[in-house]
Formats: sequence, C-alpha cells, structure tokens
Amino acid sequence: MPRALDTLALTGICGVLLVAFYYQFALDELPCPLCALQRVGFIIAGVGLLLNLRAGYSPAHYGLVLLTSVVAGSASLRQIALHVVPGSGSYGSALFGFHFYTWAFVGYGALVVYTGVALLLEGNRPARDLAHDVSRGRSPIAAAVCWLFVALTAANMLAFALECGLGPCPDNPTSYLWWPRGD
Amino acid sequence: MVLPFVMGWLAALLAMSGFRTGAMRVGLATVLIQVWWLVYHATDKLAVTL
Repeated sequence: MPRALDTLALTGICGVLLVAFYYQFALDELPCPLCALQRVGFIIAGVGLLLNLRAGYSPAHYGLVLLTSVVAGSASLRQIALHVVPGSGSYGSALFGFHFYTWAFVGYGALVVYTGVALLLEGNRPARDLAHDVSRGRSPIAAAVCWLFVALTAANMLAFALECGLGPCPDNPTSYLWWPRGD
Repeated sequence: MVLPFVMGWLAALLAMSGFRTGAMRVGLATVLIQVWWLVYHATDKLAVTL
C-alpha cells in the first residue's frame, strides 16, 4: 500500500509540473527565479519518492522530501509575502482563485503531511514486508509514472536553459534567452 | 540558473537506475544549492512584480 501511495504522490508531482509547463508554453507565462526554485523543490521531492519506488524504501528518502519541501515551501512563502500587501500586484495568472506560488505552498504542506503519514505507516511494518515493495514499485503503472517524471525533469532542464542560459534568470523575465520566437 | 535542474535530472536518472547513494548525494547537494539560492533571493532587491 505505501508504494501505491508513493506512486500516487509522484503522479501528483508530475501533474504539477505538467500544469506549470502548460502555463509556460501554451499561455506564454515565463517562470521567475522564485518560481524556478519552487519547481526544483517538486523535482527533488519526486526524486525521494522515485528512490522509494526504484531502490527500495528508506526513511532517508522521505528525509530528502521533507528537506526540499521546507526549503522550497519557504521560497513560495517569500513570494506570497512579496504580494501580500494590497496594491503590490501579483506574478502570473491565478488558478481557482490562487496564484501558483500559493498553490506551491499548499503543495509542499501536503507533501510534509504525506511524508509524516507514510513514515507512520512504514514504521509499524515488519522488514520482510518492505522487501516486497521494490517489486511493486516496478509495476507497469509505477514504471510509467517514474519514466514520465524523469522525462519532465529533463524537459524542465531544457526549458530553463532556453530561458536563462547558464547564468541567473532575470527577476522579471519577458523572453527566452536562447529561443528567439520572433514575437 | 540551470544547474539545480541539471542536478535534479541527474538525481532522477540515478534513482531510476537504482543508484541510491549517488541519487541521495546529488539530491542533497541540490537542496544545498536551493538554500543558497533562497538566501540570495530572500535578501537581494527584487522587483516588486515578482
């Protein structure tokens, strides 16, 4: 069961990255530096879950999820704080009434809660049960989700290389550095 | 800054291949870069449109 939950959580992270891509390329909303930091957080949290599915369960993997959730959650909180004062504007469009940095903060909170629940569930299981989990993590559905996640990490790397090149991203990006689109 | 994305991709590939130690090391190094990046962006002068 916990490996199925890890697969579900990794699917959620893939969904977050896909929505971010949709807004970036279909609606032409370029991510800012703090947005990039939040995306890295989801990627590293996904790596922690991926490790559980592919290399076997370890509390250390959930530790990686927790650490990156706290750091990237702080980045989203920083961005929320930038816009909390009335009249200070916002960055990007809203989804269901909240901007993406607010959703990212909710997402990292959910990851912290999920990690706590998963550790509670795993902590009471005998070690021999955990050994079977690696094979469950190699089920066709889990494997498809894992490969989708790896493909999305590669796509993010390319997208940010196009936007920022090898240097720091501009504070308020309006075009791609390495992708002249002719508009 | 594309470095953390390169490292995240590398960590994902290592995790996918079952190289637990390598993936954890690269993942933790990426978290350290995240911390540095966060401190930089939490203390520099940002445009309010961010």
